[in-house]
Amino acid sequence: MTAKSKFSRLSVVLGVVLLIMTMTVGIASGATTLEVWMMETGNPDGAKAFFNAVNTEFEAAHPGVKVNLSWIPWLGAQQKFLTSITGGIAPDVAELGTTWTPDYAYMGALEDVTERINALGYASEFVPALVESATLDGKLYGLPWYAGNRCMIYRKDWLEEEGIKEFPKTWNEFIEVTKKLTKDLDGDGKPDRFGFSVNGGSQHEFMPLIWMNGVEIAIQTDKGWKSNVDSPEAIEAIRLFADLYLKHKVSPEGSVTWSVLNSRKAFTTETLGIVIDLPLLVDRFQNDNPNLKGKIGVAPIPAVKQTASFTGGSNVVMFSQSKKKDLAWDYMRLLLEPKHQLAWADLVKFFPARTSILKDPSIANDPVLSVYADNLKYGRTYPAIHQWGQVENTKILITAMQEILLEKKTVEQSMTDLAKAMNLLFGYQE
Amino acid sequence: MQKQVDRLHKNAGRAWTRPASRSLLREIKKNGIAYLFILPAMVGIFAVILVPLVQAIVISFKRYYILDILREDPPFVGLANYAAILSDPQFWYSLKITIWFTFACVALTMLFGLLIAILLDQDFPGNNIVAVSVLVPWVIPRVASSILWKWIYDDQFGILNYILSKIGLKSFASFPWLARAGSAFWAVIIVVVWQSVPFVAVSLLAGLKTIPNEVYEAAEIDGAGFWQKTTLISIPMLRNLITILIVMSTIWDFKVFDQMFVMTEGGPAGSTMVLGIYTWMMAFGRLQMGLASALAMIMFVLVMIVTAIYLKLLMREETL
Repeated sequence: MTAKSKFSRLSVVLGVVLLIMTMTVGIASGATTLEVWMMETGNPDGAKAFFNAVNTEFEAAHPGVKVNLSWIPWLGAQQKFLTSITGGIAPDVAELGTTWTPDYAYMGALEDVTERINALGYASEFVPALVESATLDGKLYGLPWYAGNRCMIYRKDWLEEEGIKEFPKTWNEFIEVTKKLTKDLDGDGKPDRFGFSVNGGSQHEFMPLIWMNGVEIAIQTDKGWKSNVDSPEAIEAIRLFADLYLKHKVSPEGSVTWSVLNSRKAFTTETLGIVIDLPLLVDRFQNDNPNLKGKIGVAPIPAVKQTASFTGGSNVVMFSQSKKKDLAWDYMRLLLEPKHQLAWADLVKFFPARTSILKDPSIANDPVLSVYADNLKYGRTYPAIHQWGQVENTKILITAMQEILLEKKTVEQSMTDLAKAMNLLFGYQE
Repeated sequence: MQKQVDRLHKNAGRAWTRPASRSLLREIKKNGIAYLFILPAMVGIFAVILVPLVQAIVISFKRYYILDILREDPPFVGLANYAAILSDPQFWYSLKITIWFTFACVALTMLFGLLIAILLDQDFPGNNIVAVSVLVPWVIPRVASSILWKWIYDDQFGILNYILSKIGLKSFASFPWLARAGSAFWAVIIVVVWQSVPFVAVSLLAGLKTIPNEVYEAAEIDGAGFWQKTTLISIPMLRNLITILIVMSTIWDFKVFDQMFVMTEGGPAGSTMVLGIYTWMMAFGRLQMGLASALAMIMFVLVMIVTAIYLKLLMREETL
């Protein structure tokens, strides 16, 4: 027998022994495992460090319990959740995006946590949009965790060049500002710098105008949910937005299909003056283009009748399949502790769900974050119904806006058709 | 005695039957080891093609809304899903543009494939290098190349608009290729053709190599030129191969999904919502698996019909 084959045989034996050892250790210790699923973040190392600290604290307080944390990529998460729920292998605790919470609640996959939340003592201080997203038929199916709202991020220096000292507070003033910022710099007769982008490829910018004009996107009737996008106020709101592209021409030609990814790119490369976006973008713009340092301002979205912004974020949920509900609840509660709320908010650049924590100096004294935090009370979320996911995923909102921007339909036609399509998904009949 | 005669008859009959009509069991007994070898492949095909296909057929007769399945077993609804789809204007629109898309892609793919194959069949220095480089678009994963092309077409930062504006076409300086219904449609066709031409070209090149030189030499003696040799010898002799390639391209292009999804997501304003994307949206957008399966079945049947027509044409020509 050669030395080499002796060695390989030894390694096989060792491998088998190791395998048996690990298996028996697992069985012998009989540790209770809490399965936790969290969504991947833009800062994986920071997120891992955060959860290492949380899990250590949790395991210390619950001897014999081990937290098994998995990171779920956003892409394909929907399928992963659906298959694990139907397969009966859902985790005990998971982070769930606000717009997904009603889907799984309707499905019966989530545990009703209304009573547990009311017993917390701080239930009244949650960001309203998050509570709205976690509520189905008056019951809460998720513990609000963190929120992210949108404000206007603008080029302070460009506004100053035009002699504008303060960011506009009304939509009409806003239109005038975007017109002034739109310029033909190289003299070829076509503008190459734009005031704003209508982003026809994403709905979070144009849909809030319906709220801003004082009406709801959908209303609950005694025959179920009914779309309200064909109401005169909604039509007027959408027209205000589309006119930026069609009439005032302050938005790039290609912005019909742009999403925030495109408008971010344009803002970074200094061809766009104003975007509607999340707070974390302010830092990112300045990192990606150091020339932007000190030239960026943030302001609430100018009001039509009032201001509003789409507020997303995440809830923590427990699945009804879980056999460790009390343990799961302890874990969920731990994440809502002020120190963890603050650390997590700082890490992902979103806001704590508990508004009392927003008074912390790290937020209240920050020139960017304080503007966003002040506006969280105007944050809104889409109707918390299980059909809303279908409204978004079938892209009928985007299609309706693109039809207007491409002048395939008038605003009235497009909104009437959209209302029909939404009512079809809602199962609403006149 | 009578029994013996019967047995004789039986055996005689058996001896005269051709192997193909022999019972499957006997066949397996005889070539047991061979069937053992193909067993893994058969199991694989059964598990990943036949089982899902049958399941999809079953689901297409059910009201299968994913968010309802924890509460109740999806009920059978007969042909309701099919009726709903056939009365849906979006389906007819999607079908129409899918047919146009397929037609344009197949025609252009075959045209360029044939041109490149004939070019590569000529003797010129370095034709092997050219042949290999032609394959490059084919080996790039479709999603990756679609993202690449999306950048090429980008209205503000795309190299296409950069080149066009550099050569004097100033009006293309920020032309939104993927934001206009017509240009988005053709932009994707270009990408799909670009990516399917290599396979067709290489297959046709292999076919061209099998045509004996004597045939061409005889034609040359008769005074045939390049054009006549191509249209009267090469193409007719490649007819079977061309038909097969057309059938395959039709199937591939009819169910186009990835390139279209990455580049347009069915937009702008739903103008490039081909059946593949519409089916996906029904399944993962609306979570209506019953309707999505019915759509998939309709696509399946349509492709089968087209394939059957092609094959019939092919066989008729062979008997002529």
